[in-house]
Amino acid sequence: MQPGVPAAAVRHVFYLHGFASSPQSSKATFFSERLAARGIRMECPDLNQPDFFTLTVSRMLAQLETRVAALPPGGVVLIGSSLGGLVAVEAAARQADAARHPITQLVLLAPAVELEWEKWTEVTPVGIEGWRAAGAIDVFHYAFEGNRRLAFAFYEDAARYDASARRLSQPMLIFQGRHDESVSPASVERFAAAQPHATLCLLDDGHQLKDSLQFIWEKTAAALGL
Amino acid sequence: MKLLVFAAALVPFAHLLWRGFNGDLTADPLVEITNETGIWTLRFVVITLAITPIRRASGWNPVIRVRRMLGLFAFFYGMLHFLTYLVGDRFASLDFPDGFVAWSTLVNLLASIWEDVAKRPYITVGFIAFVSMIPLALTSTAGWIRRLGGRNWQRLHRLIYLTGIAGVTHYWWRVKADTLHPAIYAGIIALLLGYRLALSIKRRKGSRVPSSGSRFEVAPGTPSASE
Amino acid sequence: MLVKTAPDIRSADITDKKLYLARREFIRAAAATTVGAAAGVLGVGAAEAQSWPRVKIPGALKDSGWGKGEKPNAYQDITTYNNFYEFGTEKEDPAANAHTLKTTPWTVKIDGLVSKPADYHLEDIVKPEALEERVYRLRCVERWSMVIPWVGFPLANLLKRVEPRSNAKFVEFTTLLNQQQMPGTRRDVLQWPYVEGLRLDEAMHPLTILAVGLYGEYLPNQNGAPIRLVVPWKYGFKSIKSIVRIRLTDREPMNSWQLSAPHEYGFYSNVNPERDHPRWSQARERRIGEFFMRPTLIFNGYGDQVASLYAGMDLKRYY
Repeated sequence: MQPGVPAAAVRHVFYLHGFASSPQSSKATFFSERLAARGIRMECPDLNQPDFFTLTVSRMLAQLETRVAALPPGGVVLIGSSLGGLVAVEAAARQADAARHPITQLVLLAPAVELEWEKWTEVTPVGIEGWRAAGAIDVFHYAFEGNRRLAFAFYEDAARYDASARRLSQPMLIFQGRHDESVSPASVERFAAAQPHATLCLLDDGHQLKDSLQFIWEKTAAALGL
Repeated sequence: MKLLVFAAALVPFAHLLWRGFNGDLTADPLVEITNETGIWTLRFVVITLAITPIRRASGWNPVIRVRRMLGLFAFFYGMLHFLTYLVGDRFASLDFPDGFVAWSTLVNLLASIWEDVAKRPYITVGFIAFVSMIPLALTSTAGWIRRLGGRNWQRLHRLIYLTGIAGVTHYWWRVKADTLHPAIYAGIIALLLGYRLALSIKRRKGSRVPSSGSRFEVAPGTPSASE
Repeated sequence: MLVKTAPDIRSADITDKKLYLARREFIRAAAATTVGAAAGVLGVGAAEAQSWPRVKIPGALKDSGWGKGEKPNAYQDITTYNNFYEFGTEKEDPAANAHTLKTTPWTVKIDGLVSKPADYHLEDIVKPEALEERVYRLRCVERWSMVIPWVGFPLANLLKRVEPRSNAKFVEFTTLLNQQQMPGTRRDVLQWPYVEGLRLDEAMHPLTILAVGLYGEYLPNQNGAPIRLVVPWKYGFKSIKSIVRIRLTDREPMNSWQLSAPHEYGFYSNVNPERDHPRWSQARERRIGEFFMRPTLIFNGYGDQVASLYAGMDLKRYY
C-alpha cells in the first residue's frame, strides 16, 4: 500500500448477481442506484458472459478476478446474491490479489453456500444422472425470460467447491429469508455460526428478499460507513 | 432499440387515426377499423411468436428484450378490435326502449355479445383468442415472473399458441371467399409452432448437446486456510 | 296476379323524430370524443380524387317515382365501396383497379330459349329505351346497404323484344371474363366467369332493371359498367355487373356464390331478416353513413311489390 494513502480510501464495490439472473435484476439495480447516490460506482459484471451454457463457478471467479485486476489499487467489497454469494465467499477465501485488491468486506444475500441440488427445480425432473446423460438441462433464465441450456460441466465444476467449509477473516453481513425455498436458512445459519466476524439477519421473506431491500440497504450502508 | 420498436408498433394505430381524420376509412368505417385492428392483432401475435425462432436462428440475443412489448401491442390492438366490435357491431344493433343510459342497455349488450359468441363459431374462436391474451397481459412484467416462478410463468405464457391458432381460425372463418391471406397467416403460424414442437421433441429425446468451445478453467487452487 | 306498383317507400324509413334527434346527438357526442374514426363514420372527409371519367347521360331522364323520400348515398361511397372480385377482393380495389376494363365496344350475347338470339351491340339494346332514374335500396349480404339512384330501364322490355319461348323458365346472366382486363380473375377466388340467374317472372317484374348509369352519369367501371342488373329485393350479389350474356333456359342456373358455398348462398337470395347467414345474423344492416344498425326488412322493403311472387314458398328453405 502506498504511504500517505489510507488503506480504506480507495474502495471498489462489486455486486455478484445470482444464478440465471443478470446485472439488470431488481436487486442489482436497487443497490446500484443507492450506491450511486452516495457517489460510489457499483461494479456489476454480467456473469452470463460469454454464454450461459458454459457457466461455471470457476468461470465466474476468473471473471471477477480479471475485472478486479483492471481496477486501480484499493480494497474490494463483495455483495453476492445467492450463487453470487458463493462466488463472493470463494473469492474472499482465495484472496487472489491480496496486495493490491484485498477483499475487505462481504455482504451476502441468501448465499448458496451449500449447493442443495435437490432444491433446483431445473434438476429435479431428470435428476443429476439425467443431466449427466443429456449433457445439459433447460434452465428458466430470468433475464432472458426463457429457457436456456446449461452444460453438465456446471455441476462437475461446482462440486469441487465447498463454500460452507470456509472460515473467512473478513467482516460480513448476511441476510437470509426464513421462507427461502432455494437456499435453506439452516445452511446459512450453520455457515454464519462458523465465521468469526459474521452478522446474520434472518428476515421474514423469501429467496428474493424483495420485501427487505430497504432494511438490507440501511444495514449495508452502515457497515460500509456510508 | 425499445423506443424504436415502440414507435414502430404505434404506426398502424397512428395511421388509422390519420385515415379517420381524412375521412379515408371507406364508406363503412366501423367495419374497416374492425378489420384493420384485427389484422394488426394477428400480425403482432405472429411477430411475438417469431421472436424466439429469430433469436435462435440469428444468435442475436437482445431481440428478446422487445418480446414483452410486442406481445402487449398484440393485446392493445386486440382490445381495439374487440371494443370496435362491441360498439360498432353489438351496441349499434341494439334497441333502446329505455334510452341509451339504462340497465336494459347493459343487459342487452351483454346478452348480444353472449349470443354472438355462442351462435357464431368464428366469433367464438375470436373471443377465445382475445380472452387468452388477458392473463398474458396481466402477468407480463418481470415481477410476475418472480411471483409465479419462472417455470409456471413460462407454462402460462404458452397460451400465446392458443391465441395464434384461435386468431387465425377466426380470420379464416370470417372471410367470404378469399382465403388467401388467412391461409398465409395459418402457414406462418404453423411454421412457428412446428419449429417449437420439433425443438421440444428433440430435447425430450435427450440428445446429447455438443459442448461449446470455450470453457473457463481456473486452476483449482487448494482452499487457502483462512483464519 | 296483383302487383302493387306504389312507388312510395313509407313507414320503414320514417323514424320517430325524438329518437332520430337523440340518435343524432349521440353520434355527435361520440364524434367529439372519439378521435378520427367517428368523423369518418359521419362521412366527413376530403373528397378523393375521382380518377375515372364521369360522363353525363344525355337527354332527360324519366323520374320513375321509385325511392321518393329516400336519401341516396354519397357518390363517393357508392363508387368506392364495391364488391367486384374480378378487380380485387377489398372494397377499395374495384375503384382502384377497374380502369383496365374496356367498356366500348360492348356486346351482349342473348341466346337460349328465345326467338331472336343474337350478339346485340350495347347501343342497340339501350337506344330504344326511355331511360329512367330509379332510386333503389341495395342490401349486401354482408349486412351493409346503400340507396343508389340508378339510371336504367326495365329488363322486361329487353326480354319482350327477344321473345322468350314458351318453355323458358329462367334467365341466366354472365359477366365478362378477361384476365388481362380483370386482374382478380387470375386467382380462383370464385369460379369465373361470374354467373347469376333469375326466375322468369322475377326477371319480368317491373322492379327489375338493367342499369347503365347512376347519379345521371354512365356507370363507373367499378359499378359494373357498361350494363348491369339491379334486383333490389335480393341480396346485392345477385345484381350482376358488366353483363356479356343473357341466356333464357328451362333449368335453374347455378349462380356463382351458390356454387362457391351452397349452404351459405342460394339461388333466390331474397332479403330475409329471418333467415340467417350461417355465419352471421341478417336481422339488421348498416345503412352506409349511419351508426346504428337498422332492422332489415323482408324483401328489402319491397314486399308489397314482390311478395306475391313467392306466395306459399318456404323462404327459409329456398334462400
